[in-house]
Amino acid sequence: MTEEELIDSAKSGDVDSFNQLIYTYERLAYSVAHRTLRNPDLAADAVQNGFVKAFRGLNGFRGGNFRAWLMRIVTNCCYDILRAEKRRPTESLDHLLSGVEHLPYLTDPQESPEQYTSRMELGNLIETGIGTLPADQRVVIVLRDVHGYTYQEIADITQDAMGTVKSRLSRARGGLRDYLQQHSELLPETYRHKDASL
Amino acid sequence: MLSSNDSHITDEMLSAFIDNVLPENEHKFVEAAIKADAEVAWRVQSLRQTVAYLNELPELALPRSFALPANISLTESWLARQSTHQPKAAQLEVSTQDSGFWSGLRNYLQGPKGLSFNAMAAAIALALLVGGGFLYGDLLTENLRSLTNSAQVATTSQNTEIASNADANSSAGAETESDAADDSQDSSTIVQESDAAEMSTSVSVAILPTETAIAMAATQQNVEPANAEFVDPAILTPSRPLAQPTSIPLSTPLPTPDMPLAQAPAAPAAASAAASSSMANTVAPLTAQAQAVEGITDMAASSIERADADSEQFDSVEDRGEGIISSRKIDLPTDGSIANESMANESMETAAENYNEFIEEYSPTAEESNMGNQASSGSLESSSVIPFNVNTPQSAPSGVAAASSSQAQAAPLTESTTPQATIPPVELPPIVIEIDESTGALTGTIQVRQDNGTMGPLAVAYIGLGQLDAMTIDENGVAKYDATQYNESAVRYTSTDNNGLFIFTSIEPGAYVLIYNVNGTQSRLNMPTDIGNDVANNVEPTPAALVIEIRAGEQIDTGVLQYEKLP
Repeated sequence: MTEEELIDSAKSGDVDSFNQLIYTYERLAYSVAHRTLRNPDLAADAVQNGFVKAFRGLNGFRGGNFRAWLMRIVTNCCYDILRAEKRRPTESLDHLLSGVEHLPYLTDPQESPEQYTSRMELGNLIETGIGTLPADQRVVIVLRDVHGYTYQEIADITQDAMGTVKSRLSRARGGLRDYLQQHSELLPETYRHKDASL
Repeated sequence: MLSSNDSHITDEMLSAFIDNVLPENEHKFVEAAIKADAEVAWRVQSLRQTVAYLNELPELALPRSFALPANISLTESWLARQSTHQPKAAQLEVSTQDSGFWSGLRNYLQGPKGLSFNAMAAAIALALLVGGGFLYGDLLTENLRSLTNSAQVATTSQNTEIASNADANSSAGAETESDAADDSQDSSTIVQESDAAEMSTSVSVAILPTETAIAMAATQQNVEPANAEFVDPAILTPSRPLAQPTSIPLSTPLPTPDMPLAQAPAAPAAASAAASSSMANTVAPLTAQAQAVEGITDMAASSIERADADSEQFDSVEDRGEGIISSRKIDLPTDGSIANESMANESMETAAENYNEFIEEYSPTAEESNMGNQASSGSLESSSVIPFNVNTPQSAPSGVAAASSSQAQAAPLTESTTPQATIPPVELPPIVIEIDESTGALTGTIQVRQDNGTMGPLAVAYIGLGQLDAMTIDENGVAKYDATQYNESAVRYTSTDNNGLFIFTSIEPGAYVLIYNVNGTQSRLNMPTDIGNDVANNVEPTPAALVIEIRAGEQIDTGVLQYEKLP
């Protein structure tokens, strides 16, 4: 079945059809939510709630880019959680116990332990750098540079003007670049070039 | 050799450059700068490298599948149970599901150990009332009934006080919170005292005491209020609805509109006073009465202690200020029509207090008021309108006033001897927004007439915010906005959630109109009209332009905007 057919079927209440759509987009949704919220449990909550809300509101989908529509709901769930967390800041003890090496990356059976370690270290550094950005910038940079969304899709998802998306993406990239520059020991020579010249 | 001769080349330009979305002339300009300036070249290179790192980020492993269960229940309760972190969107819920008794009981027992045990304790005590009557006679029975009543009344106060104390950051501020607390003390009389004819056009609405929230839902769904099913406030636990036991027989009549809560029959004066004071004060009479019947059975004593403990738990909830939104600021049209009469009715007490403040600050002359009416009732496309929340107090048309008054008198604050009607979920979304000093925020809920004839939320729809051009001064010296003069290409969009709720944050101060976007077609939303009244009187509705003025540091809530149909 095509995506449109699955959507039509799901609109009539067929959960299985909607689950087919979920299987297509759940990794994407979880990735964005995880990198936005910086917490796997909260991310899972946001994704699950987003999917349920999407299913409940599917009749409100009037065609167009379903991926963007779905991601907008998930992103809004992330923002809801961020607002709630901001009002009632809490610190999970589990977060203190779990080190950065436990980020839930998929493993590649082709790579050596050294390559895996290096990849994990670099990945963790970048993830931490993303975490230093404001939430709205995190969403934009993850959608654009991690998942390859177009500017227009991001504008549709975040409900921001194109100029705002460009501006946020620019600030996010610049902020992340500066962060990586401050931790350049794990990075190529490029990031030390400017320091050496100053 | 590095230089920064092209320091005017911003990172935004470079970011767009590496994505190839820069206009051609600027693209060439940056290319030239890269060749000429090592600093620019480095900036581009470092940005490209950053993007490359992000592209290579490993894919995250899913913690679990997010597929929905085949028997998914499409109620908010499912959402609430699934998430322990999610903001409690449905703080008060009345289930409309007619599931089985055991399912309801299971849900009930699986819910959070909160207020539900108050109800449990009250139910057990009520059961013991029957058995105790055989042993101790009528006197003891009366004591226990009083205890049950006081527990119910106290729990009502708990709910309403949480609502009123929820959020110190509310735009309405501490003054409105105290108003809300006052409202909660006498929630049974609020509807009765409502009168749209006297309503200020800008009021602060204290969010809903339990009974009033139910009444509002009943009104919205065209359920005859007198037949509305009453729900024990103790069962309306935050974030957890009940599938089945949403109501229990009331052992005593609830206060009627002409009978304030403090004078409710069979409710001891001490208990009523405690119910209208803070939660801490309710603990003492509860405990005292619990001790009075402590000797009946160990079970009864245990139930009372549990109720007491739950009361303390409520105290802690109050301390955290995490209850329902404390207040909303709602602005009403100059013609006196109101989007939601129940909400307006409830707000009358605070409206009366705010009335004088608005009179002092904004009151124009009678001539200006008339001009405002003329503007708002004229042609939409050609008329200028007075800003949304800078309106003048105005008597509503007599028809509106009569309709409102009659509906208020029929408010469901009377005992329902035979609960019949089902009540749709009452959802109070958490719309308290962090606002910085330089910008404002706007929230609201949009409902539209559904195919089945009832009002339902405008779910997951594009809602835009268009900023109006500068205010103009007409020949009479009155400042007006033209609702048609907004930049259509600069409309900022959000989407409503499944409850029709929309939220805009970080809004620059100014005057705005709401835009409804369907398939790329923008249509400006007008002020909801009192359609029901217009239809009843066979009068064509005369919608006025809806203009919302955002001020720095303020959160404006339009309340529920109800439309018969949308553009």
